[in-house]
Amino acid sequence: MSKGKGNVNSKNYTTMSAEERSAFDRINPQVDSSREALQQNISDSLSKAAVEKTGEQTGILNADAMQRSFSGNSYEASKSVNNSAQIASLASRAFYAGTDKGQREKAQQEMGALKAQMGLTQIDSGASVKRAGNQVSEDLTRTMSDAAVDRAKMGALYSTAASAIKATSGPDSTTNKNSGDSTKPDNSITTDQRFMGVKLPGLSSTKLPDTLGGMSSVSRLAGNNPGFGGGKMGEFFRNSAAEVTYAGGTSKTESPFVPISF
Amino acid sequence: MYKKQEPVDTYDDLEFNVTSLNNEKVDTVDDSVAYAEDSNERAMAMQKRNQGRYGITLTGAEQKEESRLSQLGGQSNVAGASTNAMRSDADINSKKTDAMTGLLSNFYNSSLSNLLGLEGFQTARQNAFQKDRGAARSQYYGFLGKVGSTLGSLL
Repeated sequence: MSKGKGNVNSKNYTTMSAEERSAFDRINPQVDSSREALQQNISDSLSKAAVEKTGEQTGILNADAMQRSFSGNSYEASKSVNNSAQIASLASRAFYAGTDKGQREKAQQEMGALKAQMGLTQIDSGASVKRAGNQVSEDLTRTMSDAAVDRAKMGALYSTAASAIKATSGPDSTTNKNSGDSTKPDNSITTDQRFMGVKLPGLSSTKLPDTLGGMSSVSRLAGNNPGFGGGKMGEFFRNSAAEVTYAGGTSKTESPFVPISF
Repeated sequence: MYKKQEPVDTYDDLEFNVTSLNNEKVDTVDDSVAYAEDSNERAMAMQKRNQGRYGITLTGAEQKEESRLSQLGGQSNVAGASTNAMRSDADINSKKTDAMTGLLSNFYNSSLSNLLGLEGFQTARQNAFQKDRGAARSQYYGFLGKVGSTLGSLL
Protein backbone atom coordinates (compact mmCIF):
# COMPACT_ATOMS: atom_id res chain seq x y z
CA MET A 1 0.00 0.00 0.00
CA SER A 2 1.39 3.38 -0.91
CA LYS A 3 2.33 5.77 1.85
CA GLY A 4 -0.73 7.42 3.31
CA LYS A 5 -2.70 7.36 0.10
CA GLY A 6 -4.59 4.12 0.38
CA ASN A 7 -5.77 3.00 -3.02
CA VAL A 8 -6.30 6.56 -4.23
CA ASN A 9 -4.50 5.97 -7.46
CA SER A 10 -5.10 8.49 -10.22
CA LYS A 11 -5.36 5.70 -12.78
CA ASN A 12 -8.43 4.37 -11.02
CA TYR A 13 -10.14 7.70 -11.52
CA THR A 14 -8.86 9.26 -14.71
CA THR A 15 -8.61 6.33 -17.09
CA MET A 16 -11.39 6.42 -19.68
CA SER A 17 -13.73 3.47 -19.74
CA ALA A 18 -14.22 1.53 -22.95
CA GLU A 19 -17.64 3.12 -23.39
CA GLU A 20 -16.24 6.57 -22.93
CA ARG A 21 -13.35 5.94 -25.30
CA SER A 22 -15.77 4.57 -27.87
CA ALA A 23 -18.03 7.60 -27.57
CA PHE A 24 -15.06 9.93 -27.77
CA ASP A 25 -13.67 8.19 -30.87
CA ARG A 26 -17.09 8.45 -32.40
CA ILE A 27 -17.91 12.06 -31.61
CA ASN A 28 -14.56 13.75 -31.92
CA PRO A 29 -14.27 13.25 -35.71
CA GLN A 30 -17.87 14.35 -36.08
CA VAL A 31 -17.06 17.67 -34.49
CA ASP A 32 -13.99 18.17 -36.68
CA SER A 33 -15.55 17.16 -39.97
CA SER A 34 -18.87 18.93 -39.41
CA ARG A 35 -16.99 22.11 -38.57
CA GLU A 36 -14.91 21.70 -41.73
CA ALA A 37 -18.02 21.10 -43.86
CA LEU A 38 -19.71 24.09 -42.26
CA GLN A 39 -16.77 26.31 -43.11
CA GLN A 40 -16.85 24.98 -46.67
CA ASN A 41 -20.53 25.80 -46.91
CA ILE A 42 -20.02 29.30 -45.65
CA SER A 43 -17.38 29.82 -48.33
CA ASP A 44 -19.79 28.41 -50.91
CA SER A 45 -22.52 30.76 -49.74
CA LEU A 46 -20.23 33.69 -50.26
CA SER A 47 -19.24 32.56 -53.77
CA LYS A 48 -22.90 31.83 -54.62
CA ALA A 49 -23.59 35.54 -54.50
CA ALA A 50 -21.08 36.01 -57.32
CA VAL A 51 -22.68 33.23 -59.41
CA GLU A 52 -26.12 34.75 -59.02
CA LYS A 53 -24.82 38.16 -60.03
CA THR A 54 -23.27 36.72 -63.18
CA GLY A 55 -26.56 35.01 -64.06
CA GLU A 56 -28.42 38.29 -63.65
CA GLN A 57 -26.04 40.11 -65.98
CA THR A 58 -26.42 37.37 -68.56
CA GLY A 59 -30.20 37.69 -68.31
CA ILE A 60 -30.05 41.43 -69.01
CA LEU A 61 -27.83 40.91 -72.05
CA ASN A 62 -30.20 38.25 -73.32
CA ALA A 63 -33.22 40.52 -72.93
CA ASP A 64 -31.41 43.21 -74.91
CA ALA A 65 -30.60 40.75 -77.69
CA MET A 66 -34.25 39.70 -77.88
CA GLN A 67 -35.35 43.32 -78.21
CA ARG A 68 -32.90 43.94 -81.06
CA SER A 69 -33.81 40.75 -82.93
CA PHE A 70 -37.50 41.60 -83.17
CA SER A 71 -37.37 45.37 -83.65
CA GLY A 72 -35.92 45.22 -87.19
CA ASN A 73 -38.43 42.74 -88.69
CA SER A 74 -41.03 43.44 -91.27
CA TYR A 75 -44.53 42.73 -90.03
CA GLU A 76 -45.47 40.04 -92.54
CA ALA A 77 -42.27 38.07 -92.29
CA SER A 78 -41.91 38.42 -88.56
CA LYS A 79 -45.47 37.26 -88.07
CA SER A 80 -44.76 33.78 -89.30
CA VAL A 81 -41.30 33.55 -87.80
CA ASN A 82 -42.57 34.88 -84.50
CA ASN A 83 -45.04 32.10 -84.52
CA SER A 84 -42.39 29.39 -84.66
CA ALA A 85 -40.09 31.24 -82.30
CA GLN A 86 -42.91 31.63 -79.89
CA ILE A 87 -43.64 27.93 -80.06
CA ALA A 88 -40.01 27.09 -79.44
CA SER A 89 -39.83 29.58 -76.59
CA LEU A 90 -42.93 28.19 -74.96
CA ALA A 91 -41.51 24.71 -75.20
CA SER A 92 -38.26 25.81 -73.69
CA ARG A 93 -40.07 27.59 -70.90
CA ALA A 94 -42.06 24.49 -70.20
CA PHE A 95 -38.88 22.48 -70.09
CA TYR A 96 -37.30 25.04 -67.79
CA ALA A 97 -40.31 25.07 -65.49
CA GLY A 98 -40.31 21.30 -65.29
CA THR A 99 -36.59 21.08 -64.72
CA ASP A 100 -36.72 23.81 -62.13
CA LYS A 101 -39.52 22.13 -60.23
CA GLY A 102 -37.83 18.77 -60.44
CA GLN A 103 -34.52 20.11 -59.23
CA ARG A 104 -36.13 21.91 -56.32
CA GLU A 105 -38.04 18.82 -55.29
CA LYS A 106 -34.92 16.73 -55.59
CA ALA A 107 -32.94 19.18 -53.49
CA GLN A 108 -35.70 19.19 -50.90
CA GLN A 109 -35.71 15.42 -50.76
CA GLU A 110 -31.95 15.30 -50.39
CA MET A 111 -32.06 17.80 -47.57
CA GLY A 112 -34.85 15.88 -45.89
CA ALA A 113 -32.89 12.65 -46.12
CA LEU A 114 -29.76 14.34 -44.84
CA LYS A 115 -31.67 15.86 -41.95
CA ALA A 116 -33.05 12.47 -41.01
CA GLN A 117 -29.60 10.92 -41.24
CA MET A 118 -28.11 13.65 -39.08
CA GLY A 119 -30.90 13.18 -36.57
CA LEU A 120 -30.18 9.48 -36.40
CA THR A 121 -26.47 10.09 -35.94
CA GLN A 122 -27.21 12.64 -33.22
CA ILE A 123 -29.43 10.16 -31.42
CA ASP A 124 -26.72 7.50 -31.65
CA SER A 125 -24.09 9.91 -30.38
CA GLY A 126 -26.33 11.07 -27.56
CA ALA A 127 -26.94 7.45 -26.59
CA SER A 128 -23.19 6.81 -26.58
CA VAL A 129 -22.61 9.78 -24.30
CA LYS A 130 -25.43 8.71 -21.98
CA ARG A 131 -24.08 5.18 -21.83
CA ALA A 132 -20.56 6.46 -21.21
CA GLY A 133 -21.95 8.71 -18.46
CA ASN A 134 -23.63 5.79 -16.76
CA GLN A 135 -20.41 3.83 -16.96
CA VAL A 136 -18.40 6.72 -15.53
CA SER A 137 -20.91 7.07 -12.71
CA GLU A 138 -20.65 3.37 -11.88
CA ASP A 139 -16.84 3.44 -12.08
CA LEU A 140 -16.55 6.51 -9.89
CA THR A 141 -19.00 5.25 -7.30
CA ARG A 142 -17.12 1.97 -7.05
CA THR A 143 -13.70 3.63 -6.96
CA MET A 144 -14.76 6.16 -4.33
CA SER A 145 -16.43 3.46 -2.28
CA ASP A 146 -13.25 1.36 -2.40
CA ALA A 147 -11.23 4.39 -1.39
CA ALA A 148 -13.62 5.11 1.51
CA VAL A 149 -13.34 1.53 2.74
CA ASP A 150 -9.60 1.72 2.43
CA ARG A 151 -9.51 4.96 4.38
CA ALA A 152 -11.65 3.42 7.09
CA LYS A 153 -9.20 0.52 7.35
CA MET A 154 -6.29 2.90 7.49
CA GLY A 155 -8.13 4.97 10.06
CA ALA A 156 -8.62 1.93 12.28
CA LEU A 157 -4.95 1.04 11.95
CA TYR A 158 -3.88 4.59 12.72
CA SER A 159 -6.19 4.76 15.69
CA THR A 160 -4.90 1.47 17.05
CA ALA A 161 -1.30 2.54 16.52
CA ALA A 162 -1.87 5.92 18.16
CA SER A 163 -3.59 4.31 21.14
CA ALA A 164 -0.79 1.82 21.52
CA ILE A 165 1.83 4.56 21.50
CA LYS A 166 -0.15 6.63 23.97
CA ALA A 167 -0.79 3.70 26.29
CA THR A 168 2.84 2.69 26.39
CA SER A 169 4.35 6.16 26.47
CA GLY A 170 1.83 8.48 28.12
CA PRO A 171 1.08 9.29 31.84
CA ASP A 172 0.31 6.24 33.98
CA SER A 173 -3.22 6.52 35.24
CA THR A 174 -2.71 4.31 38.25
CA THR A 175 0.35 5.98 39.72
CA ASN A 176 -0.31 9.44 38.29
CA LYS A 177 3.38 9.68 37.57
CA ASN A 178 5.00 10.77 34.38
CA SER A 179 5.98 7.34 33.33
CA GLY A 180 5.73 5.50 30.08
CA ASP A 181 6.21 2.12 31.56
CA SER A 182 4.52 1.27 34.83
CA THR A 183 6.49 -1.94 35.01
CA LYS A 184 9.68 -0.02 35.64
CA PRO A 185 10.35 0.79 39.27
CA ASP A 186 11.37 4.39 38.58
CA ASN A 187 8.42 4.99 36.26
CA SER A 188 10.83 6.03 33.55
CA ILE A 189 9.87 6.27 29.91
CA THR A 190 10.65 3.08 28.15
CA THR A 191 13.38 2.88 25.60
CA ASP A 192 11.98 -0.36 24.31
CA GLN A 193 11.86 -0.02 20.54
CA ARG A 194 8.84 -2.25 20.38
CA PHE A 195 6.90 0.70 21.66
CA MET A 196 8.79 3.69 20.40
CA GLY A 197 10.14 2.54 17.14
CA VAL A 198 13.09 4.85 17.66
CA LYS A 199 15.80 5.09 20.23
CA LEU A 200 15.77 8.25 22.28
CA PRO A 201 19.32 8.81 23.56
CA GLY A 202 19.66 10.29 27.01
CA LEU A 203 15.95 10.09 27.68
CA SER A 204 16.03 7.35 30.23
CA SER A 205 13.84 9.16 32.74
CA THR A 206 11.67 12.22 32.75
CA LYS A 207 10.33 11.69 36.24
CA LEU A 208 9.52 15.08 37.60
CA PRO A 209 11.03 16.01 40.99
CA ASP A 210 8.78 16.50 43.96
CA THR A 211 10.26 19.94 44.58
CA LEU A 212 9.68 22.83 42.24
CA GLY A 213 11.96 25.88 42.20
CA GLY A 214 13.54 25.03 45.58
CA MET A 215 10.14 25.11 47.28
CA SER A 216 10.35 22.23 49.71
CA SER A 217 6.92 22.44 51.22
CA VAL A 218 3.79 24.42 51.07
CA SER A 219 1.31 24.49 53.87
CA ARG A 220 -1.87 26.34 54.23
CA LEU A 221 -1.93 29.00 57.00
CA ALA A 222 -5.18 29.26 58.86
CA GLY A 223 -4.35 32.60 60.41
CA ASN A 224 -5.61 36.13 60.38
CA ASN A 225 -4.19 38.71 58.03
CA PRO A 226 -5.36 42.19 59.01
CA GLY A 227 -4.57 43.65 55.60
CA PHE A 228 -7.37 41.82 53.84
CA GLY A 229 -10.51 43.11 55.56
CA GLY A 230 -13.28 40.90 56.90
CA GLY A 231 -16.19 38.84 55.61
CA LYS A 232 -16.08 36.10 53.01
CA MET A 233 -13.65 37.97 50.78
CA GLY A 234 -11.28 38.61 53.64
CA GLU A 235 -11.51 35.00 54.65
CA PHE A 236 -10.69 33.95 51.09
CA PHE A 237 -7.64 36.17 50.98
CA ARG A 238 -6.55 35.14 54.39
CA ASN A 239 -6.86 31.53 53.52
CA SER A 240 -4.83 32.16 50.40
CA ALA A 241 -1.80 33.21 52.41
CA ALA A 242 0.72 30.47 53.10
CA GLU A 243 3.92 29.87 54.93
CA VAL A 244 6.69 29.18 52.48
CA THR A 245 9.98 27.64 53.51
CA TYR A 246 12.84 28.57 51.23
CA ALA A 247 15.99 26.64 50.61
CA GLY A 248 18.42 27.47 53.41
CA GLY A 249 15.86 27.17 56.18
CA THR A 250 14.18 30.63 56.17
CA SER A 251 10.42 30.70 56.08
CA LYS A 252 7.89 33.43 55.43
CA THR A 253 4.15 33.79 55.13
CA GLU A 254 3.36 34.72 51.55
CA SER A 255 0.13 35.52 49.79
CA PRO A 256 -0.31 35.36 46.03
CA PHE A 257 -2.53 38.42 46.26
CA VAL A 258 -1.37 41.96 46.75
CA PRO A 259 -2.92 43.34 49.99
CA ILE A 260 -5.41 46.07 49.31
CA SER A 261 -7.17 48.18 51.97
CA PHE A 262 -10.87 48.59 51.32
CA MET B 1 -33.78 -8.97 -19.60
CA TYR B 2 -32.49 -5.72 -20.95
CA LYS B 3 -30.38 -6.25 -24.00
CA LYS B 4 -27.68 -3.74 -24.68
CA GLN B 5 -28.02 -2.26 -28.14
CA GLU B 6 -24.85 -1.24 -29.87
CA PRO B 7 -25.30 2.09 -31.65
CA VAL B 8 -25.28 1.88 -35.40
CA ASP B 9 -22.41 3.95 -36.64
CA THR B 10 -24.05 5.93 -39.40
CA TYR B 11 -21.59 8.74 -39.44
CA ASP B 12 -19.46 7.40 -42.30
CA ASP B 13 -22.52 7.33 -44.52
CA LEU B 14 -23.56 10.74 -43.31
CA GLU B 15 -20.14 12.24 -43.95
CA PHE B 16 -20.15 10.76 -47.44
CA ASN B 17 -23.58 12.21 -48.14
CA VAL B 18 -22.65 15.62 -46.81
CA THR B 19 -19.55 15.70 -48.98
CA SER B 20 -21.48 14.46 -52.00
CA LEU B 21 -24.27 16.98 -51.59
CA ASN B 22 -21.78 19.77 -51.04
CA ASN B 23 -19.93 18.86 -54.21
CA GLU B 24 -23.03 18.05 -56.23
CA LYS B 25 -24.25 21.28 -57.76
CA VAL B 26 -27.40 21.58 -59.76
CA ASP B 27 -26.41 22.38 -63.35
CA THR B 28 -29.20 22.28 -65.93
CA VAL B 29 -27.77 24.82 -68.37
CA ASP B 30 -26.50 22.31 -70.93
CA ASP B 31 -29.75 20.35 -70.86
CA SER B 32 -31.80 23.53 -71.19
CA VAL B 33 -29.75 24.81 -74.12
CA ALA B 34 -29.96 21.45 -75.86
CA TYR B 35 -33.69 21.36 -75.34
CA ALA B 36 -34.08 24.94 -76.65
CA GLU B 37 -32.10 24.04 -79.79
CA ASP B 38 -34.30 20.98 -80.33
CA SER B 39 -37.38 23.12 -79.78
CA ASN B 40 -36.17 25.59 -82.40
CA GLU B 41 -35.65 22.84 -84.92
CA ARG B 42 -39.03 21.27 -84.19
CA ALA B 43 -40.76 24.66 -84.45
CA MET B 44 -39.06 25.40 -87.78
CA ALA B 45 -39.99 21.99 -89.12
CA MET B 46 -43.56 22.50 -87.99
CA GLN B 47 -43.68 25.88 -89.72
CA LYS B 48 -42.41 24.37 -92.96
CA ARG B 49 -45.04 21.66 -92.77
CA ASN B 50 -47.77 24.23 -92.18
CA GLN B 51 -46.59 26.39 -95.07
CA GLY B 52 -46.68 23.35 -97.36
CA ARG B 53 -50.09 22.27 -96.03
CA TYR B 54 -51.67 25.67 -96.70
CA GLY B 55 -49.77 26.34 -99.99
CA ILE B 56 -47.88 29.41 -98.76
CA THR B 57 -45.01 30.31 -101.09
CA LEU B 58 -42.43 32.80 -99.94
CA THR B 59 -40.42 34.99 -102.26
CA GLY B 60 -36.62 34.85 -102.16
CA ALA B 61 -36.44 37.98 -100.07
CA GLU B 62 -39.10 36.62 -97.68
CA GLN B 63 -37.29 33.32 -97.36
CA LYS B 64 -34.05 35.17 -96.64
CA GLU B 65 -35.75 37.32 -94.03
CA GLU B 66 -37.44 34.27 -92.53
CA SER B 67 -34.13 32.48 -92.25
CA ARG B 68 -32.49 35.50 -90.60
CA LEU B 69 -35.32 35.97 -88.16
CA SER B 70 -35.49 32.28 -87.38
CA GLN B 71 -31.85 32.30 -86.56
CA LEU B 72 -32.21 35.33 -84.32
CA GLY B 73 -35.35 33.95 -82.67
CA GLY B 74 -33.67 30.62 -82.12
CA GLN B 75 -30.59 32.22 -80.64
CA SER B 76 -32.79 34.29 -78.38
CA ASN B 77 -34.64 31.21 -77.28
CA VAL B 78 -31.41 29.36 -76.55
CA ALA B 79 -29.97 32.35 -74.69
CA GLY B 80 -33.17 32.69 -72.69
CA ALA B 81 -33.17 29.04 -71.78
CA SER B 82 -29.53 29.26 -70.76
CA THR B 83 -30.12 32.34 -68.62
CA ASN B 84 -33.19 30.93 -66.97
CA ALA B 85 -31.38 27.68 -66.24
CA MET B 86 -28.40 29.50 -64.79
CA ARG B 87 -30.60 31.64 -62.58
CA SER B 88 -32.65 28.70 -61.48
CA ASP B 89 -29.56 26.58 -60.77
CA ALA B 90 -27.98 29.38 -58.80
CA ASP B 91 -31.13 29.79 -56.76
CA ILE B 92 -31.48 26.09 -56.05
CA ASN B 93 -27.80 25.70 -55.20
CA SER B 94 -27.95 28.71 -52.95
CA LYS B 95 -30.98 27.34 -51.11
CA LYS B 96 -29.30 23.95 -50.84
CA THR B 97 -26.22 25.54 -49.37
CA ASP B 98 -28.33 27.49 -46.90
CA ALA B 99 -30.19 24.35 -45.90
CA MET B 100 -26.94 22.41 -45.57
CA THR B 101 -25.46 25.21 -43.50
CA GLY B 102 -28.41 25.09 -41.16
CA LEU B 103 -28.27 21.33 -40.83
CA LEU B 104 -24.51 21.26 -40.37
CA SER B 105 -24.69 24.02 -37.82
CA ASN B 106 -27.20 22.07 -35.75
CA PHE B 107 -25.21 18.91 -36.15
CA TYR B 108 -21.98 20.62 -35.16
CA ASN B 109 -23.63 22.13 -32.08
CA SER B 110 -25.01 18.78 -31.06
CA SER B 111 -21.69 16.98 -31.61
CA LEU B 112 -19.79 19.63 -29.71
CA SER B 113 -22.29 19.42 -26.88
CA ASN B 114 -21.75 15.65 -26.73
CA LEU B 115 -18.00 16.13 -26.72
CA LEU B 116 -18.24 18.65 -23.90
CA GLY B 117 -20.38 16.13 -22.03
CA LEU B 118 -17.55 13.63 -22.29
CA GLU B 119 -15.09 16.24 -21.06
CA GLY B 120 -17.41 16.82 -18.11
CA PHE B 121 -17.01 13.15 -17.20
CA GLN B 122 -13.26 13.59 -17.15
CA THR B 123 -13.63 16.62 -14.89
CA ALA B 124 -15.85 14.61 -12.54
CA ARG B 125 -13.23 11.87 -12.45
CA GLN B 126 -10.46 14.33 -11.71
CA ASN B 127 -12.50 16.01 -8.98
CA ALA B 128 -13.31 12.69 -7.34
CA PHE B 129 -9.64 11.76 -7.44
CA GLN B 130 -8.56 15.06 -5.87
CA LYS B 131 -11.22 14.75 -3.19
CA ASP B 132 -10.29 11.20 -2.21
CA ARG B 133 -6.58 11.91 -2.34
CA GLY B 134 -7.06 14.94 -0.12
CA ALA B 135 -9.08 12.89 2.39
CA ALA B 136 -6.46 10.14 2.46
CA ARG B 137 -3.63 12.60 2.92
CA SER B 138 -5.51 14.46 5.59
CA GLN B 139 -6.03 11.22 7.47
CA TYR B 140 -2.42 10.21 7.09
CA TYR B 141 -0.98 13.51 8.25
CA GLY B 142 -3.50 13.62 11.10
CA PHE B 143 -2.08 10.34 12.30
CA LEU B 144 1.47 11.65 12.03
CA GLY B 145 0.38 14.68 14.01
CA LYS B 146 -1.05 12.49 16.76
CA VAL B 147 2.16 10.50 16.98
CA GLY B 148 4.19 13.70 17.04
CA SER B 149 1.93 15.17 19.69
CA THR B 150 2.26 12.10 21.89
CA LEU B 151 6.02 12.13 21.54
CA GLY B 152 6.17 15.87 22.13
CA SER B 153 4.20 15.62 25.35
CA LEU B 154 6.76 13.19 26.66
CA LEU B 155 9.85 15.21 25.81
